[in-house]
Amino acid sequence: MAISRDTVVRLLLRERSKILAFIYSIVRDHQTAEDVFQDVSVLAIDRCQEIDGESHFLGWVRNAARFKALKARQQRRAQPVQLDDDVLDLIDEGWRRLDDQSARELQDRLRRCLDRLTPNARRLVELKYVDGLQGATIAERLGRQVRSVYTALSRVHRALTHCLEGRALEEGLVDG
Amino acid sequence: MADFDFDELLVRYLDDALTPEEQTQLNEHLRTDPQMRQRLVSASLQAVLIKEVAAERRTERPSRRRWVAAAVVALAAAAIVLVARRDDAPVVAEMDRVAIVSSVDGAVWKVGSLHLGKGQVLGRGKIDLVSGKVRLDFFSGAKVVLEGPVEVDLQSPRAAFVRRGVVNARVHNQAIGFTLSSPGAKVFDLGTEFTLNAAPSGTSDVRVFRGEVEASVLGADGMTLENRLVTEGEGAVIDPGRRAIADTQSSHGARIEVEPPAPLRITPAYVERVRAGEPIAYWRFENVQGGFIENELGREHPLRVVGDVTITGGPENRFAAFSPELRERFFTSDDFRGLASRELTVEMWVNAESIRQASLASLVLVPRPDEVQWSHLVLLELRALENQYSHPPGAVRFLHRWPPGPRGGVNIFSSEVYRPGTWHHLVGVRQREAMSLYMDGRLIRRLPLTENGDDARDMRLVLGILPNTNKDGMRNFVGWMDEVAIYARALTAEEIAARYQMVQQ
Repeated sequence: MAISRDTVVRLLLRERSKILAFIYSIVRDHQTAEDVFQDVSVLAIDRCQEIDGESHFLGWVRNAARFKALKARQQRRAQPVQLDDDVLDLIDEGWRRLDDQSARELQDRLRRCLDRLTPNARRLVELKYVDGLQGATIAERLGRQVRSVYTALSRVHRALTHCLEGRALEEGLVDG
Repeated sequence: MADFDFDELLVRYLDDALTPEEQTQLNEHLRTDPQMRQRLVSASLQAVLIKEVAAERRTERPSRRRWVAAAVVALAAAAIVLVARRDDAPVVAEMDRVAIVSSVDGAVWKVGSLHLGKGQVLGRGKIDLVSGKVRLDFFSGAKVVLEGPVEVDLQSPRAAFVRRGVVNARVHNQAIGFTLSSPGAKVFDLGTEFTLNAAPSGTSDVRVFRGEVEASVLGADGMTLENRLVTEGEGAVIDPGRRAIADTQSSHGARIEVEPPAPLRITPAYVERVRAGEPIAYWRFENVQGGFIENELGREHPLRVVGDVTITGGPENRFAAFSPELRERFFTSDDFRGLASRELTVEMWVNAESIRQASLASLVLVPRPDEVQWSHLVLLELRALENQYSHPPGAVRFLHRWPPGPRGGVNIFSSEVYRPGTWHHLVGVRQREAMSLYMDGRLIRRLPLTENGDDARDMRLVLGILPNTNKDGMRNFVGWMDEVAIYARALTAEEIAARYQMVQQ
């Protein structure tokens, strides 16, 4: 059964973080991700008749967002580096696992995990994901090697993944 | 490879720093290991949540409810503006269309100013952009880029008033006469690319990249006091205070470049669906061989390439590109014998570079050597401002003539606009008793036909040019075209909708 426009707006609000994360995984830029999210929101509201119930909402949105994200990505970069189509298909399973998790709860959990990072690690992820700086720029700013910035960022991601999964934060690993 | 290395690869992917080799490596890891895929999901989610958490903390720790409420309002507003663009009527009456928003890049709007979204149709009104860039296509055909900070009044499809800031304009041959004014100054385009910078001091700089413009100093009554032709490579400063136009080397503004669009995502299933519909000819524009585009259905009806049309796109799908040059350039195919007596369908995907009157597809009688004018059976074209006919600006037109001839006919004009930079699926269907135009999977209109009959003569298909007027290039199509199919039967509404839905953009 189709869902109403109001329901679509409500779901877009509720699931915004997860949809944005999906788009970000393809476009890797917050501003572009926001633009694509807006485009997809319009499409979802416009075509709410095609969405077969609330349980199909995220699947429908991801499908629409994928094409729009790839297109946005191609338009912005001369040589698009991206994931193969079959790989994107496979990754979808990973996104489906998040479908039942509340976006708000994920955010709360991440907030608590961030608080447990060392100040250096915290600063590093903020330079990357809040200020949107490239690895090379961060390295320059912090007076470090680019390679060591990537290594540190990958450690923080791993630590946060563990923390989000409810596992103990490995203190020694997260000093960026 | 150890987990640790994969995590680094992943971070470098998110940082857009992978080499092609590393990209292949990453794809391979993701293909074979579900845990790696979950890590990509988790890292992307973290990237977004970290940003959201920071944004929330920055707003002086308001209550969560307040933040969510703000988001609801912002999203609802965006939804209203953007939903309105689907059915343009609530925003702009069809005949009052002035311009369409083609792209918005990093725009910050002044408080109280309308926030424009891509694809939105605009009427007369004021735009106040603090920073960023906005590209507009006026319905006269002028293409304009606003660079913030800029304040502009949209006056008509042929005119805008620049209160302050930098406006770049590119005006093609059909839109000559486009005017940008600023306080005490006016620049009348004579077919060109130029920039106008209305400075806070009250003077206006004009810089001409190509072609020429007529610059005026205006008196208090708005009439020209002094005028001067500014030509290619020149710059001039218009100073109403001193009533003078002087040479200057302005460095404001930039030429407007338009990149080819991303290719349509055509799947094998789409190609199969078209084939199953049994067209007479289906051209995918994947490559040119010996001056011809191959017909997917066999040896008959290859599409001949005439002049400067090229094939572009990526490895997954390629398409035809029609340059902005006024030279003769088109595709054509002959020997459609007896098609005039049959039901027929013309199907194509098109993406216009700008608003312009442009012929997409003509089915004409193959002319006898003594014939001067071409006899059209059907014509599919894009329109700009109305001139000899009555229709809203930016319409799509489907014309049918019986018997095939050089004038008259029955028309369908769409009230929907085509959007430069957007792929549109257009289908014209001609049956014995009716003609129909479909756009993006939807029926635009069906008109009964009272006159029809038999004509066994050979028909010719021409794509991208109006056969009659090709000498001056006035109705050349400029833009991109793909997946053209001709059927000797009427496609049904369901078939057309299904094809459109198979190609998500």
